[in-house]
Amino acid sequence: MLISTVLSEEKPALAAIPVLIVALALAPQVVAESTLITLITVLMYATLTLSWTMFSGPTGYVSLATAALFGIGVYVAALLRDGLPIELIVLVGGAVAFLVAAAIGVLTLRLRGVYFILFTFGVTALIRNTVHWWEANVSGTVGRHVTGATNGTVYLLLMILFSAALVGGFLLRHSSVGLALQAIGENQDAAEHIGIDVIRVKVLTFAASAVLIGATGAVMATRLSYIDPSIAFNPLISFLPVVMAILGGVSRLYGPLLGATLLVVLQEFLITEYPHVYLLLFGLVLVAVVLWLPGGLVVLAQRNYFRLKVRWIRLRMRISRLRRIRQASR
Amino acid sequence: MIGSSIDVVITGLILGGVYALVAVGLSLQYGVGRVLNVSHGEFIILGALATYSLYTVAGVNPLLTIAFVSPALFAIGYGLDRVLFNELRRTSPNDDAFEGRSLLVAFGLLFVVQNLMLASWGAGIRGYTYLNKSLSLFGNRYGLNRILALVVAVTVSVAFYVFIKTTRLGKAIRAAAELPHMAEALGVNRRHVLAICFGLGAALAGLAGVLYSLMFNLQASRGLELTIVAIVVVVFGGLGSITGSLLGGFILGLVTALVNSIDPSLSLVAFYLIFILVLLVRPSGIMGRQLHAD
Amino acid sequence: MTSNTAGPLLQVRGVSHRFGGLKAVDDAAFDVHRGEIVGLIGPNGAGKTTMFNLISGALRISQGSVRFKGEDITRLRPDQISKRGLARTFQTSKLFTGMTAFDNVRLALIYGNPLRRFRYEEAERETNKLMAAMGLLSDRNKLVRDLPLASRRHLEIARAMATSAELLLLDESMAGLTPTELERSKQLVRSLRDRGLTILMIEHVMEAIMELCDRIVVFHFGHPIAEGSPAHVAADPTVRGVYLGES
Repeated sequence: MLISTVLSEEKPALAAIPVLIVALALAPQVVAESTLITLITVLMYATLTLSWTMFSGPTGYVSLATAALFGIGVYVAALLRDGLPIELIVLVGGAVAFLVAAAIGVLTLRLRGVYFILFTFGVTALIRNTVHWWEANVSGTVGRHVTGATNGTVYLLLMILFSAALVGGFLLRHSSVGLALQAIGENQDAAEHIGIDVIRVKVLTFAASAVLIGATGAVMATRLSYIDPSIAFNPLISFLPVVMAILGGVSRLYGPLLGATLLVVLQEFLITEYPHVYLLLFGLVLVAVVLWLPGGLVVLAQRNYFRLKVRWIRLRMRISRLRRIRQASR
Repeated sequence: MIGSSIDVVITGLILGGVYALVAVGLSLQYGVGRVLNVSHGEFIILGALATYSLYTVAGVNPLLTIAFVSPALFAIGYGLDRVLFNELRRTSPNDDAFEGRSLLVAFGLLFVVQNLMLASWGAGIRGYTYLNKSLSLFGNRYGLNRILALVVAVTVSVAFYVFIKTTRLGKAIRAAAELPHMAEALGVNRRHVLAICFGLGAALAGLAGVLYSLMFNLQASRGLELTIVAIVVVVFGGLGSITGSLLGGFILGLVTALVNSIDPSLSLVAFYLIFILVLLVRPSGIMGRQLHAD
Repeated sequence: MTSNTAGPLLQVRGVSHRFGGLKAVDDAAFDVHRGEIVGLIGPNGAGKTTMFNLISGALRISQGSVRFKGEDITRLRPDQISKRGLARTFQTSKLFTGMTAFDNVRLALIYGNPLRRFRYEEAERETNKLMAAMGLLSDRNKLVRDLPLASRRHLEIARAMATSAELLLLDESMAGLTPTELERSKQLVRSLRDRGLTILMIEHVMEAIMELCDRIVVFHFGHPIAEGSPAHVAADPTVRGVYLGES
């Protein structure tokens, strides 16, 4: 995209992102504690979903390794919590996740389609069970306590990570790497033949997207205060971002954000009274979206946006025409 | 020493029988229909819970329940394929897109079925005892119910293998699997065959569920564990090879029993390690068709 | 990268490839010299596209060797080969249909040129220049899936050209065109050669082959059976026998 095109077409996004960030920064002053906690969950899943979409969106390689990378961040925090300041822990969590994701990438990027999905799922399960075995047999303790941080601190850190995910996602989409990823997703052979080192691009993007996932895990560890392998590496942490991204749609930046917000809010409503209803609805939504709205809610939003835009333009034309007629008759 | 080795082998075969049966249904659904049905385990648990209820409420012999559960699940599976996966096949631009999307739809089904079961049966652990007498084999005692399960599993596996290789429907199934675009030209009603395969897969899941309920305690949330076992066995045996799933099931059952005899807490680790290694070294599995160079 | 102007631009020696039990390419050997337009013809299934796949790196070569500009490219990946100046088009269009025509070319420009690191504005200018030269400027911002066949063919060539190609492999780029479109395509190929490009083309449209090619290589069962000028090849009895039944 030409810079001028980016600036004109993406004006809404460029305006909305700073507004959103400022609003989020001010939120703790104005909202109730319970809302803040909900916002924390929203930010967590929004960051995870945005990060997931960075790689899996354009390439179509569905990664189920989110839980593994998140859990790594959790355990980094659990192990280092009492020695280092939390900001540093978050960075380390992100760094370790980067390395693990790079390793996974190098191993699996020959695999296509369903094999990649299965591998990321298998690696996550392997890591979960290995950590469990290690904790049980070597460390002697399966669960760990993590010194907590205040909701305010957690919120602030998540807000920073979320902003990074948003900005990072935006930059990626409008960079040549983003275009290369899209090319890889559309036709990997052709992408190779125009000079794109497909493996390098895939591995680096996948690893980069893992940084924020690991960092989020490190932050959330301080919120959970008690962790064990099945909590840290909970498979839902892999599945939910996928559903959120598909519901929202991956073709625009705000899609994953939309999907995450909707599902977390829905979850908050249902989880205490009707936990089974929530997950049931979740399943039905997934089936419905994949069958009938494969582009996600973004497609609906875009359609309506254009419809409204056309109506607005027509209205303005009509007004200016009326003005000219009035002037001519004077 | 020999006694404990034989114990491992027999326990392994019993476990393997379950694995094979659990896997072969999934293999049919993926091998022919290209649907990686991650909700497979839920149907197994559904069959198991149905057996439990029928036994504890109405005293129905679990083996008789098979005659009810399997056809019912066949119908459900057939319907799901005609309604959901057929639609996906129609609207997907290529095979990879279809596989990805059907995987996601299967995930949706997982959540729907599991939570329906949780709503109906609750989250607690349930179980019943049937044929609790034990049989003495080579110096070790095994529950009669487990031996029975093994016998049924082996019988069904063999019968199924024969069905696939010799009957007309079996050949039609293989045609639809191996030559998807040619099969129609050969007079095979592809949509019908695919739906039958999915239904058969579900029916086998139901059967596996009945046998599972004979041997283990049940929990409405245990479906995913079983699905994972099925996937690992299917990948190990070769995605698309039914013989591979049968063979793979028994092999992995033996391996699991072996690892259990050394250190039970390592069995899951070993399981996933094998899975990863197969994907890395030989993704086509022990009997699968070789993947193309690209 | 200094190019070896002495020997042939492309040298294929002893290349064979099997698909399972079928030998698609059988001990193939031929040269392409700088500035030539060489035609690669033969009946369906003669191994022509497979040969292209082997040369461009899409398939791994297990037997034989390929040298480009004097360098052995047998073991290289497609992206590495592309960066060295060897580009190709595909029989079934492999354009990025969800992107604009402009972005298809711009991407190739950015990634296919290792020496020139293009800055944003420069990349846009160069892309515009290239598309203008190919007559595609008006289609710039259209999505590929909205373009007609002839434009798409030209776009494929433009995309290949964006990688600063010295040798262009064209795979049946004249198929299915109207007579007017065919004439335009032939003109395009001629103008490419006039700009210094070397072309190796697989083609079934005989009129194009006869008019454009300096030399023709005839493939049959994966092996070159005849080679020479169009007139020579047309008169060759072996070739006529192979083509009996095909026009």
